[in-house]
Order: sequence, then structure tokens, then C-alpha cells
Amino acid sequence: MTAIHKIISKKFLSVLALVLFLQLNASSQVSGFLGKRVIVGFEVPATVKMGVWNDYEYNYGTYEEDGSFTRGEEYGSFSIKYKPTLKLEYVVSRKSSIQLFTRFYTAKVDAASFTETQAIEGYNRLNFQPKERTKMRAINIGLNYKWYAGDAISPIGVYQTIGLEYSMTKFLFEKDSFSAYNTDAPVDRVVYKNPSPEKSQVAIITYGVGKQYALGSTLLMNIGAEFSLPLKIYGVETHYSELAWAEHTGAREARYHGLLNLVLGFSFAL
Amino acid sequence: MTKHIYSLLLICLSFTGVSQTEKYTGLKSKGSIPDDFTKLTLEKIKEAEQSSDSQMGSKKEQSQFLEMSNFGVDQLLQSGRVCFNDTISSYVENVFEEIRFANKSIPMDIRIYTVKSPVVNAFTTEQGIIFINTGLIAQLENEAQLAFILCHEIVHYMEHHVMEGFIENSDISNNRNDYKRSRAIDKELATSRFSRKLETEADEKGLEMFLNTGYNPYEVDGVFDVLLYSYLPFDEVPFDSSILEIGDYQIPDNFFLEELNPIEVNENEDDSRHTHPNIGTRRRQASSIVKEQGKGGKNFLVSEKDFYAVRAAARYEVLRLQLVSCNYSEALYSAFILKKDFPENPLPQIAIGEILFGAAIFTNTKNRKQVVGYYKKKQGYSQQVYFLLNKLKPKDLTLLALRYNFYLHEKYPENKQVENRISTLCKDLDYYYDFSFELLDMDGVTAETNSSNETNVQNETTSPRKSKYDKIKQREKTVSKSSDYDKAWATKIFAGCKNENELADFFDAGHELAESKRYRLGETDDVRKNNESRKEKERYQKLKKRKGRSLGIDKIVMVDPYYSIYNLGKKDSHRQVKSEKEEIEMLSQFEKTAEFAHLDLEILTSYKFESEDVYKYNDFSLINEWVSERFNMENRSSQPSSSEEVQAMIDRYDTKYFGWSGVVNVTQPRGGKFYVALVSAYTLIGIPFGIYYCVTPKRNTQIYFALFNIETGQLVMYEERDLNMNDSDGLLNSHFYDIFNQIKKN
Repeated sequence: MTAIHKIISKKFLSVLALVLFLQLNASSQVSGFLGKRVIVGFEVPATVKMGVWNDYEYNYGTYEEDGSFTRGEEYGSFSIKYKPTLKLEYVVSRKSSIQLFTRFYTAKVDAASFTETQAIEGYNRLNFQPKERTKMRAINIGLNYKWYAGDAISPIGVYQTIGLEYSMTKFLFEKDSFSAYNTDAPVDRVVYKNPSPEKSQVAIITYGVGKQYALGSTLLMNIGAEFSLPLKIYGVETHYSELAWAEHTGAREARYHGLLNLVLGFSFAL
Repeated sequence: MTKHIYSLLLICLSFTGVSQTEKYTGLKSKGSIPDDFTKLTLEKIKEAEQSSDSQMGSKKEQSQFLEMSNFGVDQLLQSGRVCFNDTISSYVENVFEEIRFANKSIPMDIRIYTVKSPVVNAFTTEQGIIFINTGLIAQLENEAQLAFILCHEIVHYMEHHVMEGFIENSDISNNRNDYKRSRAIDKELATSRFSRKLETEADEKGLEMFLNTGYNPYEVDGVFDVLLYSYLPFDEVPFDSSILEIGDYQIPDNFFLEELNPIEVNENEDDSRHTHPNIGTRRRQASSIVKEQGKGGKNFLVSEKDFYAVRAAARYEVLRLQLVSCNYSEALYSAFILKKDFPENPLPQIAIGEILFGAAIFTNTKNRKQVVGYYKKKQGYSQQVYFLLNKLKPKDLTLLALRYNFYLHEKYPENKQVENRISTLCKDLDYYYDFSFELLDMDGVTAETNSSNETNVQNETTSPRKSKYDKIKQREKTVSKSSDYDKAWATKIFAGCKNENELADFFDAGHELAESKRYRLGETDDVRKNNESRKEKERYQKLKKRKGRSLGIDKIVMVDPYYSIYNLGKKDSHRQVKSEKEEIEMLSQFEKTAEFAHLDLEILTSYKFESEDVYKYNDFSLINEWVSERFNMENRSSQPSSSEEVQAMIDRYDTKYFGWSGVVNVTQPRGGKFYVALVSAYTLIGIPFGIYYCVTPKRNTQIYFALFNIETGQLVMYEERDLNMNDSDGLLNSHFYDIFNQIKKN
């Protein structure tokens, strides 16, 4: 019953959206691009991660029983991250449009285990010790309000955007490698655990500037920059909390990969 | 005298354009449109390159010359200011045939066109076109003078002087041949010297050609008088202020100068920096040849009657052009002369109404000097007109304009243009001076007399008719005027007016218009109303920005859209070849874009004219003048002088909406590349941006669009867009779609 209800709801919503779209188009009072107000596009925001924003040094490896440290795989601090984005833009007025988008990206994050240390004076302390990098998968959906500056008219010319994005992240742990660490750990003092939960969500506020060009009667190209900031900010304590780890890491990665994006996109006016 | 009056009568009867009763409507082209007007410049260049066998200059220089000269000439040909097969051109062609008959070596490919310009000038192009300005024809005394000028121009063409001058200038500016180490001043002098050499050659050979004809060789001297005094109006007659006085009032003497500047011009001035030798030198050279070789001849071979008719047409044209350019002092003097010559023709009177109206509305908005000019350095009788229009108090000038136009309204009640002027003047009196109908003294009469002027005028009118140049040589000083006058004279100028009630109605309507203007500008006495007006304006501006206008217009005519490309990084910044190609492309894009917006669009431009579309060419010419005057008047009035004539176009094109549009694309090198490169390299992430900035030039595209309702003169839509982008088809299509959509949608 629940499933049927879901299907009906989706159909109903789709039909409603279509009707609304046609309604808006029929009473068109704005120009659009040669009268076309709906634009579908593909965009690739790219961010350069240079390591300078990391809040700790990478220290991948394992401690041996004798206390010596074996270095793990070296990871470069410089990386370029692409976030493929699909967007649907609707020209609202001569100077503005709204943009619905979804983007997908993956990342390797420092997520090996927590080390539980037996405390001397009666309480336990969790130390986060990165041992391995694990895969993070993020799917974002968002809504942008886009407005055009000066004499430009939507959708061509210099634009600015402000929007809200909702990012859903999932960490894909490779459990086998963690159990190996558990086996090697000294039993009386250290307990290894995988972080839990494995999913997180974070809201992100975004601001962008760019320029959209017309390459043909239907083809548009845009280049620009986008700045985003997750709305969750964690204190030092929460950084090392096992329960907040997923949310913290998701937000942190969103910050790393969203602080400054260079955007290149192509779209078609329908 | 009798003979003169008789010939004048014949002129008036024979020349329909300037008859005593019919209204002169400007020069009109006739017959088929010559290829010169419709062919693309690129095609002309290609043809010229293929047929050229010139040995002058290098191939590169020849190519540069062809591009420069063809684009230069076509700019004039496609401006609508040039007439073909019109009354003047046809007459000049007949004179040209007389010259060719006597000089068989003259090539057959010479074409003669008339340029609607008040400037005293004629010029030739390498393509074989002789352009004669109406300003020159207006100043001539006889056909022989015209024939000598034509001979001079024919020589310029036959001797390829235009190209020779170009090649020499190219050598000078590129430090070639004798100019290797020349200073800038020497180069300038060399350029002028060479040009003078060509002019002297044209004078000598032209005179040789002229002496072969049957024209009076002694008239060559008269041509130099025409050139010497070309800065003066086309006749020298003491100004009679009575042409402005309706009924019993008289303009006080204080508004007339006691003494006018003498007419002084040095015909032997230093000509080292001039393109032409001074008149004295030219006159002496020509006189010595005429004395040696000259035989008797006639002043007129084609037709004396036609000459005067053509000159009258040219003078009317000069007046019309002065009106179009809002040059009111000159126009008033021209109208005065024409009214004396053609007392029954309504045009000079209607023109005076428009001149006074224009001078008043510009004065009321504190822009008097812009349209009446300065009087102090003027020479000749026209200085009186300059002085009068400069010195009349703004309110008095407005009242004078109102009185004159009200008189015209009484005389020509069907003339809507005059009616509109009266409403505007009443509005101005209310808005600027709080002047109402009640403040008029309908009984008072100014008792001033203007005897000195009258005496002068009588002397002039009773003496045998003299040419402008005889009058200059015999001119007397004007008589001094009294100093006291009735300061309220202007309020009494309606004394004796029979249609008081109608005048009062006009004042009431003017008050309404003034009130509405005060409301629009937020200048009423009521603060609440002012705020309401301000908010209304803000609301409208916001809505206009967001949604655009909704004009609900089905059809527009777009006149002469232009496309100009400039590359400021290049020596020759105007990319004319590219501009023309883009312009043609833009015209076809316009049609498609208008179709998208469901707007019926007709484009009026020379490229699109077929040879039989002469009426379109005349419309094109007329509407361009209309808009030129409309822009000159800014927002002071929406009724240019040619408004009545353009009414007929509304029926022909089935729309009253005419638009003008243009695109200007500018490419220029970017500044601060070094710093941008440094910063982008430092930030690393900015490298792509840095490369883009350093490698590509800055591009800017400006779009202009103005749409007028030619029935009311109202500027319906004006758009000026400055875009920091290249002029891609997509960008232009998008913007023009936006413009067309705003025009079309309800």
C-alpha cells in the first residue's frame, strides 16, 4: 500500500509540475532565449584541493606492537575534483531564472578507525587516528536563484547565483582491512572500531558568478566560479566524537570541495 | 525690372516644387535607382580590382585606396542625403552635356548626384561621381558659373587626383621618398602643398575645358566670389523685422543692432596649410588665362528659367536643412529671403513659425545658444537675426512664437503641426513663467516705430535687383536705434486678435499639460502627489526592468540598421569589410528573429532596394531626415518639420512605428596583463583565468534601438545596451528577440 501510494504521489507531482510549467509558458511575459524559457544543461564544477586547507597532517600507517610506526600509502595533497551536475533552468523574468540541479561526486576521505584508549583516571577517551582512506559518495540536490547584471538579459551575459544545496553522503568502508587492524591491536589498552553511522546529510549555501554565452540558436555555454559553505560547523570536541564523525567528515569534505569551484557548463534551450 | 518680375513669374509657374501656392516637399529622386546606391561596397571593390589598370602606387596601396574610397563614398550614397534624377541633378546633367559636347575627351561614365547639404561645395570621386551640394547651387548666379565648377571637377576625375593624393599622403605618412626625415610640421605642409598643386591643375585644365564651351568666360571670376563669400547666406538683404510682426505690434528697436560688422574677408590669406590655393591666387591665374584666350559667351546655354527654378529649389532645400539641424538664426534669415522672393508661398511663413517655436523651446530649457548661435562675429545682414534671437527675453520669445503660430493657425486651421506647437508654447508659458491667458493685454498696442529698418528695406526693394555680391560691395551702415522700450511689449502682441476664446482654450490646454508635467516630475505643490508620482515612476521602472515593455505593436519598419566593428589595437581601427559582411548577416537574422517574436518587420535599407524602388529610396531619405531633426530637438518637441510629409508613409507601410538600430563591436587590448599573470600564477587556481585574460582581447558590444511613432513623434522605445561580450549571433539574436518581443507582446 505504501509503495502504491508513493507511485501515485510521484505521478501526481510530475503531472502537477508539467501543468504548472505549461501554464507559466503560456502566459509568457519574458523573452527567454529566442522565446525559449526552459534550459537543460550539464555542468562540471571543478575544485582544486591543494592540501593547504587540511586541518591536520596526513599520517597514514600503522603502529606496531613495539610502538614503531609503519608508513602507509602516500597520498598527494593536491587533487582536482569534478562534480558532474545536471541542471534544469527556467527563465522567470528578463533578468532572472531559477535553476534546479543535482550533482554527484566521490572522494577518498580519511576514515580508518577510532582508537579507544583506557584512561588512567576512570574515563575513556576516543582518539581518531587515520589509518586508511575510504570512499565517500555524495549526491547533492539544490535550487539556485540566478540573476543577470547590467544590460544582460536572461539567460545570456554576466550572472550571479545564490542557492541552497542539500548534500547526502555515504561512506563505503572496506571492513576487511579494519578487522586486520583489530587483530593486531593490543587487547588490554586499545579497541579499534569502524565509524558509525555511515551516512550523513548537510545543507550548503552557495554563491556563484559567471558568464553565459550563446554558441548557437539553442546551445549555451557558461563559465564561472562558485563558492559554497556547509551550514554545519563543529567544535574541536565534536571532531573526535565517534557519533558525529560521519556528519563532520561529510561537511568537511563539502567545504573542501566547494569552497571555490570553477564551473564550465553547456546547456540547451528547449 | 519688368523683365525680372516676368522671369520670376515664369519660374514660379514652371517649377512645381517652389510654386506660389504649392508646398515644397524637398528634393525627390526619380526614375530607376542607380547601381551606385544599391550595390554592396565589397562587390564594387572587387569589380574595381578586376578592372583596374592603374600604375599608381603599389598593389597594397591601390587595394587600400579602393577600400577607403569605396567605403567613404558609399557611406554618403547610403545615407539618404544624395538625390539622383531629381530636379537639380537633371539640370546639372544638362549643363554637363553642354560641356561634354564641347569636350569629346570627357569619359561617358561620369554620374552626377545632388547632395542635400547647406555647405557650399562640390567634389569628385575616383569612381566617376560628381557630387554637387544644394548649398553651392543656392549661391550661384548663373549657369556659366556652374559649368566652370563642373569642368574643375571633371578634371579631378580625369586626372585621377583623388588616388594621386592618396598615394602621396601615404608616402608622406610612411616617410617614403622625399619625406624620409621630415618633421611633422613639414609633412603637414607637404600634404597641403600637394593638394594645392592638384587644385591648381584642376583650375587650369578645367578652365581650358570651360573655354571650349559657349559659356561666358568672364563668369569664372564670379565663381571665386561665390567661394569667397560662401560663409554668408545665399543673399544679402537688410533684415525686415516686420515679417515677424502680426497685427499692430512691433518688436522694439532695442533688439536690433545699431551697427553691423563689416563684411571683411582676405582673399589673399596665407594658404600654406590649406588644401586649396587662396581665392586671390586662383582668381588671378584664371583671369590671366581668360584675358588671353577668352571670347564672348553666354551666361545660360541650357535654360535661364530652369536655372532660377533649380536655384530656388536649392534655396528651399537649404532652408529645410537648416530647420532639420535646428540652426534657427540661419534658417530665419533664409526664410526671410525666400518670403521676399516668393511672398505667396506658404512655406517660408510656416518655416518662420517653426523657427520661432524651436528657438523658444530651446531657450526655455536654457539651450538657446545651441540653436541660435553667437552673433558677435557674424558678418552681413544676417547678424541682425542672430542678435534678435539672442537678445529676446525667453518669455517674450515664447510669446512671439505663440503669436506667430496662432496667426498661422488662423490662416491654416487644418495644419495639426501648428496646433501642436501652440499647445506646447502655452504649456511652456505656464510651466516656466506661470503665464496665463489673463496676463495678456488684449487691448494694448505698442507705439514703437521701426522707421530705420523700413527705410532700408524700401531702398532695397525699390532699387534694381542686384546679386548678393553687388550688395556686399555697396552695403551701407544701419541706422542707430533708440534705447528705451516698453518692457511689457510682448504681452500686448495679441492686441486685436479676433479669436480670443480659442486662444484661451489653448492656454487652458497648456495649463493641463504643464500640470501633468509637474506631476510627472514630482514638482507639484502637493507633497503627497509628488510622492505618488515618484513611486509610480519607480514601480514602472522596476516592472520595465523585470518584464520589459508590452507595446502590442504588430508591424514596424526598421530604417537603415548599421553594424560597425572597431579594433582599437589596429592602426586602421574601423574594420569596414567585416562590418559590411556582418551587417548583411544581421539583416537576415533580424528577419528570422522577428518571425520568432511574431512581429511583422520591414527593413528599409539601400542593400534591399530594387532599381524600381525609388519611392522607398525617397521615403528612406525623408525618414532619416525626420529622425535626425527629432533627435536634434531631443524631448523638447515631438513634431519635426517634416512631420506632415511622413504621414503619407504611414499609409504606404501600414504602420506608424519606425525604428532605428545599430550594433557597435569594439575590440581592444587589455591593460594590466603583467599583474594579472602574476596574481594568477601565485594563486595557482587562477592560472586558467590568467591565461584567458592575457591571450584574449577585451570585447565589448553595444546595441542601440529607438522606435518612434511617426504620427505623434513620440519616442516609444529607446534601448542602449552595453555588453561586455563578443558580438556572437546568439547574443544579438537574444537581445533583438527581447526588443521585438517587447514591441509585439500585449
